Amino acid sequence: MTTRILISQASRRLVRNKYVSNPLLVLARFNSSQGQYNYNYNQSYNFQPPQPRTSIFKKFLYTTLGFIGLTGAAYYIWWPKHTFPSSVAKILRKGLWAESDKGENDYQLALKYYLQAQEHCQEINMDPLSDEYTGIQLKIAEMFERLNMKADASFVYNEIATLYLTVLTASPDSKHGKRLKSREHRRHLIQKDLRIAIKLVEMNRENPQLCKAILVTHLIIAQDEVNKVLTSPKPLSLVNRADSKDDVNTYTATLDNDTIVINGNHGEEFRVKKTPEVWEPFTDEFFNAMDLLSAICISSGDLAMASKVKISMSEAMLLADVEPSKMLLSQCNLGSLLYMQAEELEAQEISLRRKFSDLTGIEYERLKTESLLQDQDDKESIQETLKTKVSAEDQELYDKVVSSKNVCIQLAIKSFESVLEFAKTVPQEIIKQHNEINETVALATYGLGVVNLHLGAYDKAERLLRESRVRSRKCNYSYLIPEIERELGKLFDEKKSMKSGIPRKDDLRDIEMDILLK
Amino acid sequence: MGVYVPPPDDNDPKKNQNQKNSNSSPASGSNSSSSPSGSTTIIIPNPVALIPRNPSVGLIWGPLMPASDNRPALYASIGAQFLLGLAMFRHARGLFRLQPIATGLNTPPVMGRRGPLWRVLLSVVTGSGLVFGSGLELSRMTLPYDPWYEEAQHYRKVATKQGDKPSAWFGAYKYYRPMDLNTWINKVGDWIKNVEKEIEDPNHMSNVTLELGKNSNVIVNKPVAGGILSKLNNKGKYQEIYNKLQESNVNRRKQLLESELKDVVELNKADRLDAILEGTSDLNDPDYSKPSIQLGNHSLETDDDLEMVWLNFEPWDELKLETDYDIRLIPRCSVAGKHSELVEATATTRGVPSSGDEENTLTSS
Repeated sequence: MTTRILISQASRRLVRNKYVSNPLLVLARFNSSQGQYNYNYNQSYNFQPPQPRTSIFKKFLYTTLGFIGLTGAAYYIWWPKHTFPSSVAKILRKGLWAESDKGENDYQLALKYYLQAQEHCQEINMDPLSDEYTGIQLKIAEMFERLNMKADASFVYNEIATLYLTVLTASPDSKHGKRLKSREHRRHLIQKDLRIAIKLVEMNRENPQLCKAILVTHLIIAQDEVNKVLTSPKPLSLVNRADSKDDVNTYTATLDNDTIVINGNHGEEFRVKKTPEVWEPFTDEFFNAMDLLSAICISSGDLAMASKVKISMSEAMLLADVEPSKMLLSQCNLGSLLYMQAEELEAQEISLRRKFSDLTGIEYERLKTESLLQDQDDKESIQETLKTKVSAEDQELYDKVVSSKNVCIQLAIKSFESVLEFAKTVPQEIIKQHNEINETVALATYGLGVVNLHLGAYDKAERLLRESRVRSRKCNYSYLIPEIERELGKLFDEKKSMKSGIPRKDDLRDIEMDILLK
Repeated sequence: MGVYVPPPDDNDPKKNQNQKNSNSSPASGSNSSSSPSGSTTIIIPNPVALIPRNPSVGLIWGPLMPASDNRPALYASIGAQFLLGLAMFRHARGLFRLQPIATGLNTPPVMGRRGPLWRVLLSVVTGSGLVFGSGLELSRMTLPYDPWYEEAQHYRKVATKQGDKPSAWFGAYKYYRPMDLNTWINKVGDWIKNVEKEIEDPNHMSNVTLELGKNSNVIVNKPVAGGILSKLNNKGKYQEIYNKLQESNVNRRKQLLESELKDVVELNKADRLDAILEGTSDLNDPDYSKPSIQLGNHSLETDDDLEMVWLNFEPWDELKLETDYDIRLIPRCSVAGKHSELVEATATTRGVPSSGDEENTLTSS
């Protein structure tokens, strides 16, 4: 045993001293010289995977790791931390400084720097479609506006708008179409495009027709984008359904988490899933533009179009899952609009009646009611004269106007009532955060009062108007209070004249529009 | 129209974080602060919130995970994990391979395995897990739509806006908690569905369009050949107008820089501003009411400063505020003998009524 151990120690020493690099050789040597004791147990530790393979793998590993490390470091250093390249940033810094309170609001100097920055951006071939480039342009336009150089400002805004129009309307395969990298990019640009459109409208406000054209053009693009991802062409189309039958308000929509439940009064029920992502990210801009479009239509007297815009807007808002406060306001506006339209239709009705009176020679006062008849003894004779003297077309038109008017009034009442009902379901915390909900409720109550006043339901109207006054005071909606007072004044006047037997006069509409800038 | 530049001491991330929480982010409710902002209560941040928790589907790096918007870093981590997986395989192979092992002193070595089978299996499973994970992450990253990326990018911006400098690798992890995997899957699923639909039916719904027709129909169901957009852009007329506008704007810029603005420098600022104050200069619009930029104590010396200020006064965001209207129609009953056909429109700012002109739809304020 001792010898064996000795040998083994000797061999170890040997290995350590001479043959470290090549264990195979050691083994071979032992094999040849030591006879039966040739194998040493300890030697097995020297059997490692072949050296050359290891080194290649390790080299590979180290190179890759080194490479990754280097790229990482390089990327860390040149990470695009800044929106602007340093050269542009240098000029912009001066511009912002001049524009700020620190630079004593020197807009002229700021304008100079911004113009220089834009020039430089063009020199370094920055993409004019990028938000950075258009951002500088917006700054320039703002400076122009501040310096009362409105024409120059509108040129800049128009440049951005037409660039967006060019790119957004180009076919996908064309040169400009390819500048859009993805759907997200396209939607991003639509969002900016709508903002610019609203700005342009603001700058051209003395020209409603132009405003209408601008808004419609830009809205078509947005609507087209929405339609591309909408599941069905018109998921709600409540109005179309209501129109097809003759009964008004067949459908009510209720919200149930992420679905809209539509109940018909014949027991049918539809469920439509809300799809807010369809309008993302331009939801706010889209509905703002729609709202503005309908306001412009109103101010240019095109109530029919205004209503249509408003109705499709309300439907879309349901699907887009906008904030309850906005939805309520939109619904309330719809009510006012429908009421306005009813009044316009009534004006038509009155002028038709006057025409009939001229044609038939019957006194106007005797044709005063809707059905053209009063409980008079000569009912039949009047009917006869009407039939012979008034053309069938006019008769038909008259009937149509009267029925549309009634539909509009009913719809207006329903709209206001739905605002009040819906507002009740909104949680208190949300109402606390959004005072505008209270204001909208006051406005809807007021609207109901006005409709009732129009219909001659004085007691109801008075109650509603008073309630609206209380509500307006509570939420500090000071703009509405004079309106309420005036309507109440009208109401008392009318009550008085009713008592003294003076009949109502036929008059034309009048509307107030309150545009709140947030 | 509030514009916000953080006060100088706002660079403290803890404070920012708290602010962020109380403002909007419902997802980051994990932090332990419960005091209302503005009070002097000392806020002890939850230490968990200080550990970056960047999301991934198949990577193992945990808190070392890079932010979702740092793509190169993500690729690097994927690569590293892949290599680690390979190393595990190699290890397993080393254990599994038949090697001469001494059986006894007097017997020749037999070929055997160095490690027990369970260790080999463990290595193989770990290795394939790692490689699979990296492959999964890689395929996730090749998707063109990544909600995590957008989220990370958004909060990086928010952080910069607050005057913070988010780390390039970890992103602005203090400002948000990334959406969980399920939300991510739902979002991507929706996106895929939309893309699918589009591929199946590219002209889907291009027949319902907004149209300003003679009959004032806004939305009509009418197929338009080639889509409404090409109809809008007939023969590249926008391109033409754009070219003209751009040319004229470039000329105007040259003209301004060479003449009117040439002598406008810092030195003669006082004269110019005095002229405006005295009303002798027409370079002033008294109706323009957008507030000007207030820098407060902030300096504007470096590119980082610019970044912060620019993000706070981002022109596109400002334009959004400027164009955010709230239109209210107030009906009037037409019984009281007023013969008026007017559609009156006024604008008010935050409840302060200012009567506009008739037929004046918009009054900016």
